[in-house]
Amino acid sequence: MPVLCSSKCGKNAILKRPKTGDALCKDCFFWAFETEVHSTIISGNLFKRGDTVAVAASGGKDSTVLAYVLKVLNERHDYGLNLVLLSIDEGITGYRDDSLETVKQNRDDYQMPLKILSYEELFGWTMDAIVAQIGRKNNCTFCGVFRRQALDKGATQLGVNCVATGHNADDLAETVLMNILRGDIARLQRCTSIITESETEGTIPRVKPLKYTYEKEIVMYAYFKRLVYFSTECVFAPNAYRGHARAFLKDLEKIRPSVIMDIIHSGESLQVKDNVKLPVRTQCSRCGSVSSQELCKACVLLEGLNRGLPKLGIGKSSLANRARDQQDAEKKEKVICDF
Amino acid sequence: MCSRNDNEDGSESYMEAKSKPLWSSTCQKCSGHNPVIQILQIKHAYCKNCFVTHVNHKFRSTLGKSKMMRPSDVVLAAFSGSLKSHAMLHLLHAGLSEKSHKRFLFKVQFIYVDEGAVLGLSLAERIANLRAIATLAEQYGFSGHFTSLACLFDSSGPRCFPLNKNSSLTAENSLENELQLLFQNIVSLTAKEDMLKQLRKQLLLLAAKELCCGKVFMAHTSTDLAIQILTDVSLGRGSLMHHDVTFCDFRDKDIKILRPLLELSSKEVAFYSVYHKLDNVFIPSLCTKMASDSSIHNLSKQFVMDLMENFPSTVSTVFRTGEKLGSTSSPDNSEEDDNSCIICQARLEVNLSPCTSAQATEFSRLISSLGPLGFDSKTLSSISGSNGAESCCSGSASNCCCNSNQDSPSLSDIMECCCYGCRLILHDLKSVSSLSERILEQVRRRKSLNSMRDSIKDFLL
Ligand SMILES: [Zn+2]
Ligand SMILES: [Zn+2]
Ligand SMILES: [Zn+2]
Ligand SMILES: [Zn+2]
Repeated sequence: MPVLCSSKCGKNAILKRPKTGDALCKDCFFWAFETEVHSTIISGNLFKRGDTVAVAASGGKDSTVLAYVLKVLNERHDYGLNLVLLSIDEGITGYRDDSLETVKQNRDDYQMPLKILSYEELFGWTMDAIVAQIGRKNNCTFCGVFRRQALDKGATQLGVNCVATGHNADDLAETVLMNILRGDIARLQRCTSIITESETEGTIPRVKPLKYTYEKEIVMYAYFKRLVYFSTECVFAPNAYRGHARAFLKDLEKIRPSVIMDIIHSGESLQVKDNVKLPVRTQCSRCGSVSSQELCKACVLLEGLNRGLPKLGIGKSSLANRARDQQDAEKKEKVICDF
Repeated sequence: MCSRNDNEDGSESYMEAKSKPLWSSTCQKCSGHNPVIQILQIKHAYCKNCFVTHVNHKFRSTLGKSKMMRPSDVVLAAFSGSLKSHAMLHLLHAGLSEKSHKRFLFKVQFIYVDEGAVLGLSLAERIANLRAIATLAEQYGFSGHFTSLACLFDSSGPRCFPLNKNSSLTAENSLENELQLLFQNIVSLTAKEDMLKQLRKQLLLLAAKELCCGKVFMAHTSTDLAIQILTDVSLGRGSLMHHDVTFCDFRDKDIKILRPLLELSSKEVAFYSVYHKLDNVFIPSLCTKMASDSSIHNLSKQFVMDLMENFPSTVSTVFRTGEKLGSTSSPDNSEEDDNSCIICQARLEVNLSPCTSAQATEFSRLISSLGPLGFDSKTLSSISGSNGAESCCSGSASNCCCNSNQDSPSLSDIMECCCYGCRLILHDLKSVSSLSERILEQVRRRKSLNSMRDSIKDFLL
């Protein structure tokens, strides 16, 4: 027996919303999905009229849906935004080439300019080359750190006012759990904010319009809208903490679907003791990006790669630091011997 | 889809797996005897005597460094008959039997909370449990008490009764029925467990007041608290969870709840019990014999147990995360009762930000039921800022605000008096009328206070 749409529009429902359990017809779902993103944009004060906004486009479902919805809402509600696509080519054979094709398709379909920046041109290393040197252990760390900086650099080059990323509610809830697992109190406090604070001059704010949107609804939206996206997972596995957090969240969701929003609520409202020292954020002395250390993580990782000490900057770094100091000492010796 | 890692900064991304069991052949403390237990690392290989000393020491140092205990204190230890609560009594007894300067100066009583009505036990079984508990604790000579969960709903009579081997229960039927009805009406095990936990805590606080004990001791281990952190976060109780997962819960202005076992893991406490041949009384709980995916609490427990097996250091990281949480504001002990949750007594959060997860969920509910035709853009501006309590059913549901009268507060009236976490319990409640009269009465009182305040607000200076 067909279920009627919860909104009493008279049509038959075709889906059940994972977030609230309501049954909706296709048109009411599209409308509800878009209206919710609009509501988030308005109540979160994400954009100003006249802003140029870069959509961080990976070719995956989140960023594809984000680009599409922003275009729709920008026209429907007359935000007055100038939307561009910004894509990062990590240099992963067989994964990135294909997803970049999808981004180019988005560019043509949505009539948005596209800028592609590669790790190779920015850092001198492709992910393939990095993996060849470090193996498959910490590659997601490298990728994440470099990606973050690449987006900043691309945004600066494009002269945009902010970068919109496709992080959805599931990603955020997962990040909350992950930060608890690794005891990262500073990031636990920050990770649910909808706009990353630009504490340092010159940093371009990041916004997450899909912050309250369930991943399942993003897939539903893309499916019923027949949006083209690239659905292969990255060939490199995520880090262990995220993997555990993800599996745990999936199990929790089966018990109580609202758990994703409930975890985000916890993340938004939890408080940190006054006497816990949170890292002060300053600027990297080498490249000028935001950092809590003298050198930002990207610069440290890069130095490690260039010196052939890829463990530099990863995990318990005492060993790697010792290796660096030793290398420096050896160099000095060599210099002395030369004379 | 590597954008997930956008926020990575290269901090440790690999979980430290359990190192290969390197068994030490001597006790690391006295190097005399063969070690019988090794906790995590080789440096924690102890012989039986040294292990027992180690546990005692941790227990004492937890109490000592808190600087909270006074010689005049009377402690009410919660004793459920479980091994860990038995271990706590044993440790307290040991501390009180020490010689001279090492002896605890505070006094100890204990209390057993009979939850049998909720667990579906017969009166005979409950009385048997009561007497078994009394027998178990007899050796320590503490003065013992018991109370029943249903006593929480009794606004007049005493709630605590002396516990001894002849104690008996006379279940007061109307109160017991009220309690059972409440739990029958909660549809999910997750919400049932959460409700039981809130009720138990309140009852312990009331009992402590009645018995003039200023402190309640709970036997939570560090493992329990790691589970609690993951559970609380998942239940939307993040804002106040530091009270649940640190040494001291000081939400009540008179009674402090303390957790003196929190520096010990479940494993350590279990070994301690084995060495002292401590018995327990097995009383099933709501989740006994339930699959791990039957409730959020059960699932968190299973998750932590798995971590314990494979990544033991991650369990202590989770526990330490809890220690860093806390309130940024000083505890607000103002007598403004009407600003606290009527179910768990937590202070209601004042949310200044217009863009929160709670509002987003409420908005989703609202627009899913209104649809594009019933929606006008004004609704959008009215929802942000309010707590979303106005999801009126336009007259179709009997439990909605539009049908409310003085006698039966509506679901949204009650929601307004609850914290986020307790609202989730209410979502899993079949009928509002099954809530206890005590709770409904508070809602009515608060509602009329609010309307009074509204009508005179223009004249208040
Ligand atoms: Zn419809
Ligand atoms: Zn740098
Ligand atoms: Zn020894
Ligand atoms: Zn509450």
